[in-house]
Amino acid sequence: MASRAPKFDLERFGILVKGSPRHADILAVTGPVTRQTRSRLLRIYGQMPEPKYVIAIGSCAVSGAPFIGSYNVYEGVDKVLPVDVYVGGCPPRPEAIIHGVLGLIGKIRSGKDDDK
Amino acid sequence: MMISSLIKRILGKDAQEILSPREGRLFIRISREKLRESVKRLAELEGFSHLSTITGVDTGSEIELIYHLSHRDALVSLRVFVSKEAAAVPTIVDLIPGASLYEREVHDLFGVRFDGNTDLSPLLLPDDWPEDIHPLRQEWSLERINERMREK
Amino acid sequence: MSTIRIPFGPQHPALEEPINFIFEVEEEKVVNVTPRLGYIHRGIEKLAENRTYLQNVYLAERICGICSFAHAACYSQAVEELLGTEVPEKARFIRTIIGEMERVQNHYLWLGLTAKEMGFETLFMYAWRDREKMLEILELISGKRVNYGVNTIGGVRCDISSEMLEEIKDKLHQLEERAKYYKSVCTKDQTILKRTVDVGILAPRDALKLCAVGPTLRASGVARDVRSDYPYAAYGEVPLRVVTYKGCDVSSRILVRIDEIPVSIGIVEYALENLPIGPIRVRVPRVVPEGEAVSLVEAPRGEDLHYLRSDGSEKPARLKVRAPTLANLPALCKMLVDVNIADIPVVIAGIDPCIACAERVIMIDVESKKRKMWSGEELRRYAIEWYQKR
Repeated sequence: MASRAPKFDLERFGILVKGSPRHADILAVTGPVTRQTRSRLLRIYGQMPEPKYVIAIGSCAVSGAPFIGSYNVYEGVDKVLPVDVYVGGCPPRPEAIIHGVLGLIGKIRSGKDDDK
Repeated sequence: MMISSLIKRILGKDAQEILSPREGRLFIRISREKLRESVKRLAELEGFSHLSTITGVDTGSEIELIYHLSHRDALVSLRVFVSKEAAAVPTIVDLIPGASLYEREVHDLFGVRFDGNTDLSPLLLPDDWPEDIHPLRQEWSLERINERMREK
Repeated sequence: MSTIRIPFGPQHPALEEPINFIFEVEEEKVVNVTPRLGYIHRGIEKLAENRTYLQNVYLAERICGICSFAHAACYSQAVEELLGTEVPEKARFIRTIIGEMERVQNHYLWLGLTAKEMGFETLFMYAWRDREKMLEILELISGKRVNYGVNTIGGVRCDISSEMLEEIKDKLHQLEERAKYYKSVCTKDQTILKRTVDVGILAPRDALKLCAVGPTLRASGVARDVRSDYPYAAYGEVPLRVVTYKGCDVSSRILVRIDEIPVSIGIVEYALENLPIGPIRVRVPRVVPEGEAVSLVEAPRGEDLHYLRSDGSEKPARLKVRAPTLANLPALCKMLVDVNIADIPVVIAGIDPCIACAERVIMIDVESKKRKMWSGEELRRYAIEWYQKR
């Protein structure tokens, strides 16, 4: 399951929300990953060109909470994909999401993705 | 309460037990054989608007099905019991087409068959879900389901 | 004439409840629709049996991000009924106030999304900017913009103090004025009218047979509203007008919601004016005596039902939740039949689903077996251009 990064004025940081994974650098996943969405999530991630990054937004994307133990929910996006940035909160405030996105961009720019 | 006496009159002896825990709520037990007839009579009442949903409950020995029918004066909940081994009731989608998704949902979660409903395909459960696991049945605890899914 | 099946696997920029529709189309028109849910099935009802009654308030709040308060209130009321607890008068009023604020916040959000579906980026931005005013009020009262955490079993956790009143009233007034502007746009703008009037028809008889609820039902002229039919919280004591329109189309669904905004604001203002004095909650035991209860509230999207059964322990024996969007899906499928492909996004948006438009659409030509993928944006653009040509 892929969601676009929310429109909290992210555009002023040079970040656009894209409709197709083929044009995206960052995959923002909000909400819990269920069994049904797992394969689609993998497919969408597979369609993204390298280099690509993943942000888990919200407590359910980060850990599956409060649905931990459910028969249909994975305990976080990182059980399915490699995650670069985690933004907690239920839901996270817009400021927290922006902070997470900018943090990721900082990480990318400083070359810390060399080991990818 | 007027609606209570009206419904007693309409359902007659088919109503095996009538409870009214508070104003605006009626719980009526009926037999499986009388389900369709009772739903039909209630749906024809002036003031009836819709079926809100169908609730399934695993009582341990049986599956209880509760049909929540919304009348202007009260929410009328009709309950029917079926055995877990032969969990089937006749469909009501021809009487109330809006029941379609609710029957599918109960079928998914409890394994109840709704005879006459030609589309009981999965509504909520994933495509690769094992057919024999009905998550809301008591014998399927969360631990047991998760363990079984790990084996896949 | 070939029938083409189009799987419609949607996602939404702001809301994230994916749903799948399979469309069968002939040329430009839809002939059949089949829904397939399950992408966001979290097993909440099963989880609820493994959590205490209080923990489940937090779970109920997270069934839906936008109808969060409605679900938590509906659930809390069910528990209170089983406990035989009478919630303090002030708490009932606060529940009413927050519930109506949530409704207004939802309708603004939805208006923006629907405008976006039609290519009205500006209207979308305006509506979401206006919505912020309501979120600010809610944050003032509860500390959060969404998932307010106001409900608890036995009452509410947040009070509304007199210091807050001036800011609240000022923002409510602004929201009421803005609603007038949106009404004018939605009744006068030619493009909007072309795309919404007589589009996605749902006759009253069909709406009832298919068990539709909320604004979707009321836009087909049927005056059913849980606040009026089975009053809860303080709804028996505040001025309520049930809004209906007879158009049975997307335009009517828009107008019902826009008109509900001033009604909700009126209720909030009245409730604030007449806010009782006293406690906002009572303490309740952890153990709930055996019994069953059905609780109903009018969430922003329509009737929400929680059925709760207790077995005398600290955890529910059974919690069943029927959220309003599920009730409106059969009606949605009906209203999609005979619409143009270009109308699909707007008609779906029209029921204000807790799921929304397409992320990608796969068109399969049955005869040539060729597959073509469209993104949700391409479908939206196709729809806008299609209407511009007419």
